[in-house]
Amino acid sequence: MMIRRIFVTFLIIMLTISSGCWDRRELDDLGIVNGIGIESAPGGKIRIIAQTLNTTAIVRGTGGGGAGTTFQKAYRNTVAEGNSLQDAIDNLTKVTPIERFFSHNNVVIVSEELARKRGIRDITDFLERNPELRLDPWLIIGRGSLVSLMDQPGRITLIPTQRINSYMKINKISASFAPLNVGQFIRLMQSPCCQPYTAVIETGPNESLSAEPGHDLASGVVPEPVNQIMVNGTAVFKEDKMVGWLNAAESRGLLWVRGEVKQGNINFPIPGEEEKSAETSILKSWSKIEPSIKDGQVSITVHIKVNTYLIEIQGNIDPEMTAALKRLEASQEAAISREIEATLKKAQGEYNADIFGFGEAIHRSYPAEWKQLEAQWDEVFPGLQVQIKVESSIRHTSLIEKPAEPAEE
Amino acid sequence: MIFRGMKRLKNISEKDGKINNGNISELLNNEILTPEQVKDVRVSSALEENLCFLQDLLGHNKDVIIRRILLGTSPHIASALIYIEGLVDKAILNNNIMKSLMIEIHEESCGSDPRHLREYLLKTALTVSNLKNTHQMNEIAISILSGDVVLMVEGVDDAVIINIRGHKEKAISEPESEVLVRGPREGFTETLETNISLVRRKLKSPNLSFDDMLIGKITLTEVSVVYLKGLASPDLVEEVKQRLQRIEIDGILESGYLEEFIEDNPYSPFPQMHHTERPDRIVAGLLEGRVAIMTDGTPFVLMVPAEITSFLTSPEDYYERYYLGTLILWVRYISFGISLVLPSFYIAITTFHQEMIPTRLLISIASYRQGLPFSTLLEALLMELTFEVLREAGTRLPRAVGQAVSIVGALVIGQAAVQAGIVSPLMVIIVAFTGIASFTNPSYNLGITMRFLRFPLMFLAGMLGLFGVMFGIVMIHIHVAQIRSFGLPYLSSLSPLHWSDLKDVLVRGPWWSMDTRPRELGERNRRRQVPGLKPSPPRADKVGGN
Repeated sequence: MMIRRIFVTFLIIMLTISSGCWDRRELDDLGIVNGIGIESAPGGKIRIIAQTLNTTAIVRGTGGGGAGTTFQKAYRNTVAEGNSLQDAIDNLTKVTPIERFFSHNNVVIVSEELARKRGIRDITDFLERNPELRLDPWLIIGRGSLVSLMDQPGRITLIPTQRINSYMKINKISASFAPLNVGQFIRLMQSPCCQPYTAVIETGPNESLSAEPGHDLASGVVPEPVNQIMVNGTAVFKEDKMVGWLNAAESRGLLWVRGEVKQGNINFPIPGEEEKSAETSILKSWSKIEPSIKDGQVSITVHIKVNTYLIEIQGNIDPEMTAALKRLEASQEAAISREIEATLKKAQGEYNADIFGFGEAIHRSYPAEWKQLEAQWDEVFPGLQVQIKVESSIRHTSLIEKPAEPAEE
Repeated sequence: MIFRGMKRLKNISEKDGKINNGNISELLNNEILTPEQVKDVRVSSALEENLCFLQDLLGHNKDVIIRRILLGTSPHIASALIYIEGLVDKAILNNNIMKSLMIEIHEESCGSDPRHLREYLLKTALTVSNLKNTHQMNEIAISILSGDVVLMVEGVDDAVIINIRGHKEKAISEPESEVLVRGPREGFTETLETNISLVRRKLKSPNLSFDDMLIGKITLTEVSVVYLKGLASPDLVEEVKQRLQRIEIDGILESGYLEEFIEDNPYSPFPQMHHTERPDRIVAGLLEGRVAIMTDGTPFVLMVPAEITSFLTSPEDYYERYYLGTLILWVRYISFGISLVLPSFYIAITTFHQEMIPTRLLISIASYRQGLPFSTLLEALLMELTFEVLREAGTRLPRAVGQAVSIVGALVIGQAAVQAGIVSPLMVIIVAFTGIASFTNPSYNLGITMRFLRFPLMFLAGMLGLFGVMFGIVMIHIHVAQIRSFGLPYLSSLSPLHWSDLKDVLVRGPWWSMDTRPRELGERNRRRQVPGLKPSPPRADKVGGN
């Protein structure tokens, strides 16, 4: 009995020890990777840039300018090449002997060149397969050299990849680009009914850098950077390869159709005074894609409903408010339609990529017909009849109704 | 030895009631003698023989007083008062016994008939309230040792036991281990009689019963089983008594001795009965059908059965408004969880599951761990150990010095250790918070259990991560689910679930809604009050006039 009891206890202990996760690691031994950049390297290799956080510098400040303190960079980039992504990651340890920890990765930046030529299927496979990587970091296309892109410290958010993350998060305010995270991207990529897209970032000159660095503050501890990271439109994919690019307005055209415009402003000419324009702020928007098949002819109607309020107006406003707002609404609807049409033209005409999910809508409404359509969707999509119906209403005119007029003498 | 001794004593007593004194002294020198062993010795009608026997039995000690007096004038009847100095109320002894016997006694009453004399003494002469007579020598011995005065008269073959106990005792004061903001300020004392009176004063019911017994062969400690007849289950009362009667120990100094003898699961780290210094808590328990065990010599009264949720309630929950009571109850539940798992959770997450920490927090933790010499587990163990040392030091030291300990502790542990780069400030926060959370536990005994169980959980966390913590918690859960306290499942009213009892567990229901007693305890008399007592403003038609 006693022997049996000891044996059972031993078994339980062995069970816990042998099956348990022996991957204990102390936090200070980890290099927390906040973002990775992936580009192609000569010889068919892959180059990886890992941005590791310097936690001490972040928490205890980077010097702050006090006498005697040395400036510490809040992040460190490490670059390595390899035949595969994992190979490249393993090679990173040759440069910096630290165990990299990818679970807090915020962004995955893929160079435009790699996305256009090689396709990113290998990358999405790695991102999806690796247990340490999550599906929620943004998958972003980077223009130009990723090494320089990922080494543009922000002035308030010091870490470039955190800055990129913040850009993607406040996308809802401007709705001028359409980012996707890894999981969303993969879902769109593997769906036969639609094509993925994502935001594009690049380096641009820092406009706030003064021409003559007159005071010490700028040239002191943290110099004003020459360049800065900017988001520039949306990359359009066909399967796993990048095929085209949408500018800010066209990106919003895409978001209108997908019903993802949450905030932002619409600028449109005032009817009757075409040189002057009005600006409205979006309160809420809805979209509905309504496919119809008549006599084998597929057509799509996109219904868009927008609620806005007037935020800015040039020139005067008609004293008859209701009528004036009606006219403004009509002009606003036309402006939205124009944005969508421009996107449609590019997607259908130039890239032949169904980024809107029209195929998905047809699949949902006409599952039987879709089975035949699916194979020839690439041929059908460019010639697809798309009707845009925008219904908008300006709910209010903010704090004042009419602009203040200078009193006439 | 004892058996042989008893046999010898029996032999002594069988010789026509003649007692051979030499044997007792010899016995006392060689073994521990209990009054139980002189059970068969009866009081003899010869006074001197009795006195010799008692003198031998109680020893020639300074505090054993044998006062020989003569009753009446013609003829003088020899008699003696035997008592122990310091245990009796001397004023009563002098005024109501000695005076009565020596001065006020009527001569003609002291006839030659011993029976007549005894009747006279009991009914007329002794102006003391609590009297009884016996002829059992062991009873006499116990009475004397407990503080009674025994009167023996020549020619009378029994003795009068006069209860005028009056030893020095502590005044009733506020219980120090259970402090309330609102609630009665009185606490139990070390004297059983006082404690009984404290309960009786709150519970003026003829159903209230005190069943006494003596436990401890040498200490002869009085233990009283307290319950409300008709409410407490008779099986439970019987079980409590049986378990108490089983105990054969030489001494009981505190109710903790009893606790370990009568609990259901001797190996469990969890306390299986309440102990409290508060009479109101005992009365509340009695009203639910629980049974209290009072021990002479300690203010801590035991109460059975106990379930885990009742350890986390404080009497104050029921005195303050029920909203507050409910909030505080949940604060305690949460702190209970924190005090058990917070350090192990921290260890598990920071060494195994870094992906679970929000990025900014992770950066912060990682930066403070930079350059620390110990692993998180060791760091946590060191800090917990230091905390326990400080806590123990603070408890043991006199109050004035105790404060110095806490200052030194706060400075050394909180500040210097962090500045010296030995521990991370986060670990200090974790350990301090765990400590503070554990102080919210109103039951000290469950609190020590948590302190104790924290360490194995920390080891499990350090070895296996959250898997280990969960393993530990599941193990604790399995254990808690299977133990019982006097037949009551330890997780009672949660498992087995009694919906109507959750008014004491998930919330503190308002008093007007608590119509029934707990299901498992108050089964015999479930209704506590008339339903529908919820107060409401008087209806318009009843206000009258306007």
